[in-house]
Amino acid sequence: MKDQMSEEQLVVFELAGESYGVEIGRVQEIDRMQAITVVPQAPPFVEGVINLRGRITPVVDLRTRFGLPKAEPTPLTRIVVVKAGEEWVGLVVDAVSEVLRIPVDAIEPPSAMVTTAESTYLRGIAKLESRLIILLDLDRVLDKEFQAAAPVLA
Amino acid sequence: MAETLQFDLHPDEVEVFAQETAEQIQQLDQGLLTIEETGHDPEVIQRIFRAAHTLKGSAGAIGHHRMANLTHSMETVLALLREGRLAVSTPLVDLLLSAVDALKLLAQEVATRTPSGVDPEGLIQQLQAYTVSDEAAARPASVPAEPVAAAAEGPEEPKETPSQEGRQARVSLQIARDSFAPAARALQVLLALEEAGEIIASQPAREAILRGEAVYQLEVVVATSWDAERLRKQLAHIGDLANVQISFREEQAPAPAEATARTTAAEAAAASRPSPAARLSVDKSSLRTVRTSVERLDKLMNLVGELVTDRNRLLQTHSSLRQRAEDSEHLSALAQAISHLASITDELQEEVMRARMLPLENVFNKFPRMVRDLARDAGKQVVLQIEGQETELDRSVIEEIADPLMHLLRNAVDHGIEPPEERRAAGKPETGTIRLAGRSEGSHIVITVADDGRGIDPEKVRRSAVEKGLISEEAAARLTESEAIDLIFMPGLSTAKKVTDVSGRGVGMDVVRSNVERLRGTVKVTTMPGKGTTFELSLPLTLAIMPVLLVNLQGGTYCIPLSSVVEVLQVESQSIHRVDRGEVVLWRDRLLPLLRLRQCFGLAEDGARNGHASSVVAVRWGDEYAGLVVDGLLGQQEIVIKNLGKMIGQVAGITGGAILGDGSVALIIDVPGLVKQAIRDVARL
Repeated sequence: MKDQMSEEQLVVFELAGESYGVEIGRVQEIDRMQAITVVPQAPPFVEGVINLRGRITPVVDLRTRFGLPKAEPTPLTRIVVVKAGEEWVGLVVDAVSEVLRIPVDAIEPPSAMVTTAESTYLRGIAKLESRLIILLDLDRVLDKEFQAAAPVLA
Repeated sequence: MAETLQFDLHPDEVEVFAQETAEQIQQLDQGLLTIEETGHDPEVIQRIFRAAHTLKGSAGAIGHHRMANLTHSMETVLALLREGRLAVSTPLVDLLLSAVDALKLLAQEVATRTPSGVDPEGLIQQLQAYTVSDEAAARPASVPAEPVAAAAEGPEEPKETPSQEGRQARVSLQIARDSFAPAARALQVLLALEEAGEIIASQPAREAILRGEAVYQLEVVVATSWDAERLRKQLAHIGDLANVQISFREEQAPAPAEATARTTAAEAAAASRPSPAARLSVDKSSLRTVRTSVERLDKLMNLVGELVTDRNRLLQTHSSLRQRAEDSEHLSALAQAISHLASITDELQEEVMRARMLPLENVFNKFPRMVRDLARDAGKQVVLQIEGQETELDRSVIEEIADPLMHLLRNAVDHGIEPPEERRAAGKPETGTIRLAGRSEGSHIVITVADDGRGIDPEKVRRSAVEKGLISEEAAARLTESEAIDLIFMPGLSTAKKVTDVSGRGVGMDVVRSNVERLRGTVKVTTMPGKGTTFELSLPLTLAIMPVLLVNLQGGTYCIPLSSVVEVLQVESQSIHRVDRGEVVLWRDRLLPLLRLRQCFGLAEDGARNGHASSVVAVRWGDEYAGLVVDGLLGQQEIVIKNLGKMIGQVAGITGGAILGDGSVALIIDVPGLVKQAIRDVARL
């Protein structure tokens, strides 16, 4: 029990060469890229909508959301469906690499790091032996009103 | 800290209580208005008496004493009315109506659990004044003496003795299936209840319980002065009991009306204590209907919607399979199964829709009281004629039309119907008539609100619109009469000479139109100066499932609600005329403003189509038309409307999405929004 408490499970995905993580509890499912119905005049980072077993689900292109250059979908492109309250939202990512269990003490809160802006999509950074994983604050990512620079490591 | 009220009912029961009391209160309201009009009508008085009585019982059962006391004194007055010992008079009806208003607030306390501030004591005293003065009052001349009839109603009349002796508690409970000795538990219950009073009946009977038959459901009627709480406590120590329900009744179940009329006084007296078994069996018959929550019906409807989508999808998959594979035994078996599924889905959809349907009566019955009060306040004489209240409509629509109808009726009383002197001078009967009628017309229902008042003067509307700066004088002069009258739907316009507290603040008509449009309905007005005004609301039967025309736009599929499609045209490019910012085409003797949907939605222009004919879908909203230019037509389908979600929010020109047979998502076009936009563009010439 105790061990589980001090660990966090993350879904790790790739975006423009960086690794990002979101809590597994927020992830509903991971789907292959599929045809997206464009919604004209929707917020720019909303790619469109897809049908997830009868649910119309908006899809956000995380590259656009973070102001990163757009990329053509590849066979590795995935839609990570996350829960946003009662609704689901799909996040388009370059690839999903793994599900990781990391000790909580490997996570550094954003305040400990040098960030350019006060407000970011960052929840923290997980430092593992050989790499760093950027933990996303999903509520901010999914908040239409919120705008920030991409949480990219310097 | 606000005081919190405590009532003896389970949170789950609050809604049922609210609904049941609302029904009884409605009965009271309606019945009182009827007798005010018709005078002494024994049948109606009996009905409202019963409503008051039921309310008293419900209020008593949950320990709402103020409500019980008020209904008790109403009941006493109504009993006198029924016996003809008191005459129907306007002051008395007014008093009873005020009591009904107080009851509404008292009943709400059960849900809000906060005091409404209503103190029924004053009303109770006024009501009691009637019962006291009755002794001295002579039998009113207008009421025919019907001693036999009055006596015949005797058995139905509870004895109004304040003593609790005649009170019967009906205790129903379940004994757990896994109880090791259910009969012993049942016997325990009987013995415990014997301490509370005399056991009149039990089901199963005591003998059966003594024989040791397994009992899992027990109903006991006991004459007791104990209240529910005390009875509950009495049973609390007995194990394995569940779902203990206690209700009180002070009278027998209602006998059929004709039977009552034929019963002689002697028979009546003999029948006044019906066998308890009969009592229980009457209660059983009420189990044929089930109250279910709206949420559950909504959920069912959503599930049916999913089925409809899947049926469409199966049909499509099957037809593409057949194109690819050779016709095989399996394929035709599949086809059969799909067609069966399809017909069952249709039927299920129909049934669930029907379960969600409510008669218009549910909204209409609020209005007689309202119109009466409004007319009185305005010093006018108005009769409200209601027709077609049995017409059924989806409850989601029913809920939404109450407000627009209320506005229309208020307007009719306030601005339509003239004061009696004015009507007399115009050679009309002093009493004005407002007709509220419902009828079904295919997949729509039409509600008419018509008055025989002064009508709307187009000149006055024009002037008012100019004065208020809503349109320019030149524009006003150019309007036809019916266009001028349509100005009443503009926000900020009111032609009322004086502002009253109910209407005439210039809010209302624009709200009516926008509310109705939100329901995908339309509102139309016709008027004849001096003769009256008629409003016609056309509404879809349901909001959940919608037939649409599928159109293609830059590779994407969009849905146009079929209810707003008038015609599909092929328009040659040379017949399209540019006017200022907009484009129009001559169609049916009118200029049809065109909206290029690609442009509306910020999509790329379709270069390939230049010089070719365009597909134009002529749509109508209210009295306005527009032509939507699309790339192509894809056919018709029934769709289930879905929300696009908060992430996307409000998008101009789109109202939602739908899942098509092939599993893809199509967007639903917001016709009212686009038509308004098209008119705005063209109006600037």
